[in-house]
This record gives sequence, C-alpha cells and structure tokens, in this order.
Amino acid sequence: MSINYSCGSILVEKEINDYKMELNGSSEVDIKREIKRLKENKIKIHEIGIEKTIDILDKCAKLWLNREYSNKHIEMLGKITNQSYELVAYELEGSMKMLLRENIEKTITEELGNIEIMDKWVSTSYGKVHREPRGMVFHNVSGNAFVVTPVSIAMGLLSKNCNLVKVSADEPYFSYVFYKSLCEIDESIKDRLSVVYFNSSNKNIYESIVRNSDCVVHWGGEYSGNIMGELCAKYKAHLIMHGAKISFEVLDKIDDMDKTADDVARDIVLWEQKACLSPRVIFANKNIDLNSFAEKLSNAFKRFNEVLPKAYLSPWNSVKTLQDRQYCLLKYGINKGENVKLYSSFNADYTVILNESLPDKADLDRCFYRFVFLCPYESKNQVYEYVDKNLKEYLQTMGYSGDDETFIEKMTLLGVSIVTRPGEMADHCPGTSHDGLHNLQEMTYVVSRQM
Amino acid sequence: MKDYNFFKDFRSNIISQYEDCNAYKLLCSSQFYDPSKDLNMEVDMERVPFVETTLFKKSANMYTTLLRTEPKNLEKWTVSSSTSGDPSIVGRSKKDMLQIKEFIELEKERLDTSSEYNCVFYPEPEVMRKYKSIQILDRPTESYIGNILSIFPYSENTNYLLHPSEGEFSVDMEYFIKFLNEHNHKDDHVSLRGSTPLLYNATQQLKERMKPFKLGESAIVHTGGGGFDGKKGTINIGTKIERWRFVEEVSSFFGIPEENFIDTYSFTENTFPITGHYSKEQKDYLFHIPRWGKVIIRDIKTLKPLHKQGDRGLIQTLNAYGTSSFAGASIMVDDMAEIVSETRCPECNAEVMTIKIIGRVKGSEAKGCGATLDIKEGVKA
Repeated sequence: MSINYSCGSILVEKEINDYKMELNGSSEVDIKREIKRLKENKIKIHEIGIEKTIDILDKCAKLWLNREYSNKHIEMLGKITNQSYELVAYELEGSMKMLLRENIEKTITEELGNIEIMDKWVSTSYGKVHREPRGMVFHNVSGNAFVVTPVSIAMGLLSKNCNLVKVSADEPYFSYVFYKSLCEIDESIKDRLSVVYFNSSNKNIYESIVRNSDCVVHWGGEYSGNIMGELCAKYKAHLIMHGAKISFEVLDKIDDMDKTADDVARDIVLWEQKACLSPRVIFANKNIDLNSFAEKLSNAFKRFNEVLPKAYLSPWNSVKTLQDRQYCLLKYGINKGENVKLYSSFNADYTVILNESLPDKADLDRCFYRFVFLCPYESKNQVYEYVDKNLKEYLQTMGYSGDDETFIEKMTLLGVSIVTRPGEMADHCPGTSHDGLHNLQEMTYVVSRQM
Repeated sequence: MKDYNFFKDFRSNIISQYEDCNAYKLLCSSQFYDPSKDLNMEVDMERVPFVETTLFKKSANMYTTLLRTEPKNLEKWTVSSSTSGDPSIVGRSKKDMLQIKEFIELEKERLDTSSEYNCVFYPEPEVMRKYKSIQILDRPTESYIGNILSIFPYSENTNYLLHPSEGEFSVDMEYFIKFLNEHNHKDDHVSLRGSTPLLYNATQQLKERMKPFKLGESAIVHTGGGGFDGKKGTINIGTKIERWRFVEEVSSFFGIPEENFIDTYSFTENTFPITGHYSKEQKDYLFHIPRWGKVIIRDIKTLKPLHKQGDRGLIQTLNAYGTSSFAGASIMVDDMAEIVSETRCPECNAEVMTIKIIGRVKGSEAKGCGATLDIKEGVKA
C-alpha cells in the first residue's frame, strides 16, 4: 500500500506487523516550501467563519461513523495498532462522536466561553474580547493511540490556524486518511492543513519547522518532547505539551462491586492501555474484599473479550504477556516473599496481579494489553506517597470511586489533571481539560479591547 | 540402547520439581495445578505448567530461585550466548551435564561423530569454557556452547578455527583453506561444524577469491546454536540467512551433498538436543524430536496444543531427564516451530515427531501516548 502525504518524494518503505507500506517522505526543502504555502493563506483562513469549520468536522464525523466508509480503515488500523477490529471500531466511534456538531459547540463554549469569540469581538465588562489564532501550528503526532489525531487537527482548524501535521512512523496511516476524508468534504481544507512524514532522526527538519512555526503541539514520546521543548524555547514558539502519561484508578469505596469491576475492565481494555488516559495500576482500599473484586474483574475481562477481543497479530503479544506475568508472580511471590495472587486467563488475554505491596515503578512498563496490578492500601496517604514518588511527572487521569473530596484535591494538587468515575477514563467529555490545559485556548491568544 | 519410559520419568521429574522448587510450585498453584493429582495419563502432559525461558535471564534475578538444589551441589552455571547482553543463567549439576552427554552419544550416528577430520567454527572447548567465566556462589559460569563443545565426542583430528585475539575471536581462514585443499577431491570423512553465521561468512569470503571445492559424499556440515537470523552472541553479519540459501551456497561451494547437512536446535534452559536433516524437497531442516524428550507446539493466541501438519506455534519442551538441579522440566521458549508430522518424518520415515524451526519471536514495545518509564532493574552478577 502506498500513502501520498501532502508533500515529499523520498520513498520510504515501512513494515508494520508484517504489513508493507510505501510512504512519500519529505526533505527539509519540501517542508519549508509547504510551510510557506500554508502561511500565505493566513489571512484567507482567518476569514473562514467558525460555522463552516464546525460543519466540515460534523460531516467528516458522520462519514467516519458510517461503517460502509470506515470499514476498510478500521481493518487497516487494526493491523497497524495490533488491536482487534471490534476494539478499533469502538475507539474510533468514540473519537469521531467528539467531532459531531453538538460536541464541538460544547467544546468551544466550555473552552473559550463563547462560540463566536473566534469570529467576532464579544462584549465584556471592560469593553470587548476576541481570540486570534497563533498562526502556524506544528502538530507532532507520535504513538499509535490514534485518538489524538482528530482532536489535534480539529482544534487546529477551529482555532483558524495553518496546520502542519507530522505523522508517526509507528502509525503513519490514520492522520493521512482522516486528512483525505476532510478533503473529500471540502477540498479547500488543503489551504490550512498539511499532513507530512519525514524521518524523525533528521533534527534539522524539526529545527526548520519550529523556526517557522508559532506554536507546536507535541503528543507522545518523552525523548522527542524534550527536543521539542528545547527548540520551542530557542525559537520562542508556543509549546503545547501532551507528553507521555500514566493514569491509574483508586477504589476507595465501592457501591456495586460487579459494576465497578466492569467499569475498571472497560478502562483497561480501551486503547489496550497504550493511551495516556489508560490505567496501569489499581489502588484499592484494603477493606474492600479484593479477592472477590479480582475475581469479578477477571470475569469482566472475559466478557469484554467476547465483544472487544484482544488481537494477536504478532506472537509477541502472547509471549510478552506470558513472560511478564510469570516474572511478576515470582518476583513478588518468591523473591520478595509477598502474598501474590494471580487472576488471569490461561492464555495472554488478561492478567490481574493482586499484590500485597505497591509495584516497583519499572513493572508499570509491563502494564499494556490488559495487564494490571491490583494493590491494596491501608491509608490513602500510601497512594499519595507512591504516586508522588513514582509518577509525579507523568500524571494525567485518575479513575476514582469514593467520596473523599480532600483526597481528590490532594491528588490534583500533585498533578492529576482529570478525575473521572471508573469506566469513564476514556470518555473525555467535550470541554474537559487535556493534560491541564484547553487546546483551543492554547492555540489562540486573547485580545482585549478597552474602546 | 537405554529403554526410556518418557511419561513415567517425566511425571516423576515434574512432581519432584514441584516439591523441590517453590517458584515452580507457585506457578502451578496460580493455575490450580498439582502434578501428583493432575498428571495421570500421557494426554495430561499438555496441561503441565511451563516456565518461561526469560525467567532465567540475568536481569530477572531468579536463576537461584529456579534451582531445585543448593548451589553447592551445582557443577557450573550454564550461560547462554546472549545477543542482547542479558544471558540466561542455568545451574547444572554434574549429573545433568552427563545427561546431555548421554543424549549426544545416543545420536552419534546421526551426528556422524566418527568423522575423521573436523573443522569447527568455534574455539577450543577449554578456551570456550573459560571465556568470560566468573564465579557465582562459588561455582563457575560456562557458556552453553562451551558445555556442548566439551561433551561432543570429536575425533583427534579436530581443528577449532576460532582463535582468541585481543579479547575477541577471529576465524583462522588460513588454516581453513589449508584444510580444504588437503581434503579436496579425496572423498575423506570430513566434517565442517559449528556456527552458522561464521561458516556462511567464511564461505562468502572464499567464494570471492577461490574456485569451488569438492569435499565429496563422505563430508558433512553440522551447524548448531541458531544464528540463521544473522546474529549469535556477539556475532552479527547484519543479514538474515535463509536456511535453503545457506545449504545451497555452502553445498555448492564445498562440494558437499545437500542431504549431508544437519542442524542441531536447543537452548540453554533445555536438556535434549534436537537435530534435523536438510530436506531438498522442503528446502528446510526437518528436526526429529527424540523419544527421550517431548515438544508441544502451542497456538499463539489460545496456547492450546496444536497437532496438525503445517500448524505453527510456540515451542514448549518437556524434559524427563537432566534437570535435577533446575526447574527445566517444562520450558516455554520464545521460538516458533511448524509441525511437519506428529508421528513420522516424511523424508526419512523415522518414527518421530518432526518439526521445522521458524525462529525467534520478534518483539516490539507498545507505543502510544501512555508513557514507558524505561527503567533498568538491578542486575546481580
């Protein structure tokens, strides 16, 4: 299969999960030319009313929500992300629903206070306020939790910026087909959006892009995030950092154990724990019957496997889980002499490790593809201290079951930026913050008029 | 020849392992398995819990946990020739070492151990045994290849072509050429043995500057230790070697019939070597599972045992013998194989399970906006 991005003529061959792709990679010259082209449209783009963009996004969402259209793309995304068709379809639907008119309108209103603020001056107590686009926005999309692509692109378009999107080598497909679908609805989208690929080891291209951009949105990797941070500081580009994150759940009080187990399993299954919002560890009050909860969680995974099965496109998916499962069981159960119980499928479908202690930080890197630690705590302070010591710089979503407002305040003060009920960790409602910020706010600046 | 009752001996071995090794007992308990109650018939062997080879890795710090005896009862620690820099470490008693030797003796005809002239693409056994050897709990480490080289009944006329040089090894090409010239067109009983990538590399080098040889019908090529992916330990020739290409090129250059090519597959945590002969028709080696060992091929998704010809899956080995000192009775390795036949080799009609080795399962880490912390855990020597 060959993918033709907006520019570039360097043939790049990629093999992802045994599927071969040919990409047209860009050189530094190609990228500079593309940025120049986009920048020339700045004034024209500024004049496009927000309603038109909302309409395009709404139509695009509806297109993708039609399985006749999206079917072949779901199949391809499954191959690339090593996820089952059913799971990709479910995740994609959730992502696309966010682009429907009512949700986009809610997002704009929640984030910017007024849906017309991008188009007009809005009255305030001191005079008038308006929001202006930053100008040229570079979206560095990494990783294969493809949910970030429509969010990033939609926010870039709604904020009336010119947008250059660099796809990830791990998942070079979705941004491209999403862009093509936008073009099908309105060809002129090319004036303000360009999707490109280049070899990320070429630091000169990054430097050239940042030098010519007003804003950078970085999604994913810590290493590339640091490079982006340095470049943005050097060239005074506004940085919107959505770096790699780790999320978790805290079960302090449970009303309905069956429902909570089902909800927690859902949080874990979605995105196969590869997304920033996915829980890797569950902290649970030791007064809860955790043997019973683990059993129910295990049963919930079995049920989910019927509707949202785990994919086994690569034997590694099986092997890695089996190795990690045995390693953790023996490490905590024998080497550390703790009372560890394993609630898992015989195969690699799911793994719940009920531990006596909190896991070593290194073992959180094993928690992908339905692999989770369930750890009892005596006091919530233990959770606080563990998170403070091990996860502080990676915090994002906390699934929470309980009613301790003081604890929520303490954890958010530590850095947790979204708190949800179990089962809703993947459902970011329109208008909620993302990594402690609102993208539309960040991609624009406020202009006040006292006259 | 010793009469093996594999099932009876395996049952006894696994029950002892369950009693001797708390780590294995915990693995069994986690699957509600007790071999003395659950292993009653041959078919029950398919349910026996396995130990993943990665638990023996140095970085896992579990190789002492996986012992079935006190370290003082070990003769040595067998260490794999790790490509990743994280070798497996397996504690073996003298009795366990002798068991490997017995298995090699039992296959001496297939391995053609009587060949008069051997050229081996490995260092001398003593050099290999001592190479980078350290003491762990007062017992020496020794490479698995060192173990095998020490055990293998080479004839007196054996030349080991890898010589130590500035901390590494180099192939003595000068001697190899001399050897080839000496036996060219003589139909001597000659063996070329050892590392696949080194022999392949040597062939490529010689092809550029010499005419092909004719070692004849009595010569054999016996490789072992994997390396068809182009890597083995610190050797990396940078390209995958297709088995058929290896055989065709080495066969035509040295003038050795393709049917005289054999390859031995095993791994550090396993005890019985599995040897295969090359099949011209199938363009692959057909490995015979000896009756003193058992292999189960498991589906990558369900992990259920596979039985049909052409089924591909993960390799589990069952050892009834030679694992008295470590939890090696039931091992899952991250290699894949294909079932050729469960009962008979289609080419030579030997009444054995026959498989093709596909190779190592390649890994890639999950990537996304979820962070990986990339922390290396402490490694003890």
